[in-house]
Amino acid sequence: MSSIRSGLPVHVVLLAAGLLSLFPLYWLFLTSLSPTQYVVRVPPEVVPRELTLDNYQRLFETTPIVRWLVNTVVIAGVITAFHLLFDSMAGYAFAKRRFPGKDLMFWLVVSTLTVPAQVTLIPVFFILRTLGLLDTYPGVIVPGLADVFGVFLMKQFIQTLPSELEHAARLDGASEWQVYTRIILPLSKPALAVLAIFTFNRYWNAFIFPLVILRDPAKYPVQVGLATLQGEFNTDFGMLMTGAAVAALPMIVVFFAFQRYFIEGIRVGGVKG
Amino acid sequence: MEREDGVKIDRRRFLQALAAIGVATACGPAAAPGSASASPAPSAAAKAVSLEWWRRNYTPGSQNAETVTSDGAVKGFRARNPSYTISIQGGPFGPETDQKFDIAILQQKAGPDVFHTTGGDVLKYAAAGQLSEPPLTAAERSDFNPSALTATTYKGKVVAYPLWIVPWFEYINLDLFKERGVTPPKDGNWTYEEFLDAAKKLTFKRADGKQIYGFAHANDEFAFMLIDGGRLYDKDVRKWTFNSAEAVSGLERWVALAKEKVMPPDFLTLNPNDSQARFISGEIAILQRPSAMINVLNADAKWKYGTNWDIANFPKGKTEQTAWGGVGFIAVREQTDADKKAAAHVFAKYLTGPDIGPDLKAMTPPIEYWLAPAARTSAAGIYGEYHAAKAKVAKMGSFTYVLPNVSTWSEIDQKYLRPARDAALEGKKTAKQALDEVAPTAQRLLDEANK
Amino acid sequence: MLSLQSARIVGGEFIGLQNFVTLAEDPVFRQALGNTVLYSLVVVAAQLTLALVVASLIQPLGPRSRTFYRALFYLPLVNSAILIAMVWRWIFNANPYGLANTVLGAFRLEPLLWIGSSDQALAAVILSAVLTIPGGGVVLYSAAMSSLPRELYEAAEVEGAGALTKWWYITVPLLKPTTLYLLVIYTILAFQVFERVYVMTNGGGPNNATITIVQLIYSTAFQFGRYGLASAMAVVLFIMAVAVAVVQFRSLRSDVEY
Repeated sequence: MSSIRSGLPVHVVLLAAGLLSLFPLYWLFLTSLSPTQYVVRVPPEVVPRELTLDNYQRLFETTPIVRWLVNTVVIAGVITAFHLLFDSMAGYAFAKRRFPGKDLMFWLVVSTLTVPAQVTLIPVFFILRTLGLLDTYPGVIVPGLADVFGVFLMKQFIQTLPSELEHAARLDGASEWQVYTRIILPLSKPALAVLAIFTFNRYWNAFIFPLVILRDPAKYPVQVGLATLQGEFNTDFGMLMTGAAVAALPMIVVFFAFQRYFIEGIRVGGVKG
Repeated sequence: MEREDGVKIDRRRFLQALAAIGVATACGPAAAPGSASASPAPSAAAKAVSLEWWRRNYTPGSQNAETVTSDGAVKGFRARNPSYTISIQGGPFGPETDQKFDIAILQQKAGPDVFHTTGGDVLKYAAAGQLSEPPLTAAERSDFNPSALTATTYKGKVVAYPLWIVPWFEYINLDLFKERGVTPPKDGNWTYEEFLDAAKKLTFKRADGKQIYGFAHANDEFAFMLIDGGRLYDKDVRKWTFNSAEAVSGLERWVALAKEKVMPPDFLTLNPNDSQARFISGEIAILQRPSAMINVLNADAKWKYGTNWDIANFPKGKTEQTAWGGVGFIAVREQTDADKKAAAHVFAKYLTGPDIGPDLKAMTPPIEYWLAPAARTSAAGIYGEYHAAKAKVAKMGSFTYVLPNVSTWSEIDQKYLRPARDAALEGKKTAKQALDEVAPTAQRLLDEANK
Repeated sequence: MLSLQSARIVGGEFIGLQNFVTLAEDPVFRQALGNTVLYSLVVVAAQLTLALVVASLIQPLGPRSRTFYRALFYLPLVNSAILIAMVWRWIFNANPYGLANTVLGAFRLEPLLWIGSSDQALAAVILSAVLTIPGGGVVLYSAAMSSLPRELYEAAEVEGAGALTKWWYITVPLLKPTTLYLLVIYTILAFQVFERVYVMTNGGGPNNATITIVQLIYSTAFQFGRYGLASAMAVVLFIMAVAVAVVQFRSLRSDVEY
């Protein structure tokens, strides 16, 4: 970590790799800025010949994209907030606390990850129907609260925090809640930031669940809304890519907002504080 | 802040929509007295009934074809039957929405009163007892295209209303034909040999390096396998016959196209949008697509029907002229509420009947309701009125082969038949091998469907 | 889980293990199994390695550079996987002007058929996954590396350890919890690969060349209507994934605390 490895070669390699990975996203934005006839142009052009905001204009004028975006912000936002709170608590419990059946419970938790979403779709649908939650915002949000990627992540991270800190705090008379909020949470900021970014991303791009649970198009989140731009007989690619570009922007904002929590060199040694 | 913006825009659009509805409603009743044919089954009930109509890709607030025509249909219907109210439900095209339909209709046994559906689904829903049999008079029955009716027959009963028949045919790029000195088929008719010959001549590389291919398709149908007389099943739909000598020779004709390299190298992966894009950019001389592509070409200023593009029939094989097509249906769900069910049938008859076309054409702005030629002869005329190319298409329905339905077709097709066809087209198996290998499994699945 | 059990009952009759027998005899299921396993092996190994290497390269750089690169590598993930897969579909187009083929052409190599050929389609799909640096993994490793205690490194330097030694003997072992997480998650996700394959190869590729387990579950349940059989497939997938996860946990078990 403190090895001095500055110098050009590293930057070149990283930039090359990064740009290669970024290429699809670049293509997306390029397409959104191209006039329609070039969207489906064959052979495809990598360097733009002509740029236009036409697609954006059409997108905002002929589709309820703003409504879709708002819906998605609400859905993804609530789910992320919930996970930040509960996953850290659960992760802490699994990492540091002892209780009977802990290992079994943890295995149960992890094994639910292996079931693909398509399989739980119908049972969840029926549960929601029984609860009367079909076609409601809670109906879309509640199943999202039940996913366990975050619990696993937080457990792994909190596991690495030294126990002396908690022991010291408890000796000082701190309650469980105080140990959690004053010690574990602040130290977990990088992991929480990652969790926030990942969770928000997953629910931002959610498609199948909202599609099946919701009936009212006014509640559609953005990916479901964008799918309606694909016609039975032909698709307006320019608008689709533009919609995707617009949908990507809030995610980028969230990323930058949270990534400043990756604080450098936290001294977790405990002794030096 | 964001929220307020969203609300403001919604309000503006809401007002716009109101205005549009206001205008349409104003014109609606005016159209009704003017419509040529007698009004449909008398709206006897002054009883107010509300119906739910499900249609894929209906998205309020958007301008796609399904939304525009659905809204128009509701206006037109309510002008004639003001006591009904109709609410529309949509979902984007794709397997996820199909699931949504299935969950509602098959598992929940609730949901739409009236809905659009396709061949495969009709049987699925009928087998579950979820479709209400259309009350057709003898006159109405003979008005429908017979093979379309057969395609929606389950255990001897017609279970849905055929809406439209979508024929596939060949779109030809007249400029390319001219460039290579190939004569386009007279009246759109050509034999397979003439077709292959044209495709070969139309596959060339220009001086600037651009490669042109004679033919392409979106790989989603088995049309070539029919032209020598091959058929999927025997007349009773009990025996699998797609490995007959005729089917094999049909497949060989298709494989020949691959061997002669008249198709682009990615012909096995082309989906409809790709193939259309290639044609529009002038890379393909002959494209096999359904009638909806007419709208795509018309929307593009560079393409003029009759000047640089035309439509031709399927190449003719050893038997009489055959084309491949699909059918769309309107189905009414079986339910206990008798009023709703009756109302749903009235609505379904309107949606598939001869009045809706003229009603919507007379609105301001005029709406082209028929996205494909109607399945009823009395309703078919107006499709031709939209555009000259469509007039030509309207006549093709008569020789379009529509798949008789079996409940396991989806599995036979996607899991076994298509991969076998791919293997033959890639040259990994001979046509006969490929079809023979599939036959036992297909027969087994066919038996299962017929149990 | 209960739904998996009860869904083995087809239309009210309990046919027990019949479905599993059917699966064992189904060549298409075997193909899907093989494809999924191959895909997972290659992609998971690549993703883990790339994430670790890239994060390690980023770590010693100045904070501004670090922020820049983290963003650079994470950004490709902000978009829906479906739309990104559409772009990869374009890249691996079989025509000579397809982007991948253009690159080959620049090196004077013959164009390949990529997704247009039953032999190459799976390779193309795997490549599309491998060629994208896994931004999530980079970010995660990066965050974890930021909280590693400095003292260990300082102590090692005092003893004269070089950069590579420090990396291998200190950084990598200390990152075990993160590595375990990524290994398990990436494997589970790879086993469940679906959208990417669906979009790139029209769901299964020429001659079922790229069909995967989840794709088959999907079509078996929702297109062919065989819920019982599909559930049996899901059970097989589940058992596979749990078994693999157990092995992974065992081998990377660590009670790392600093």
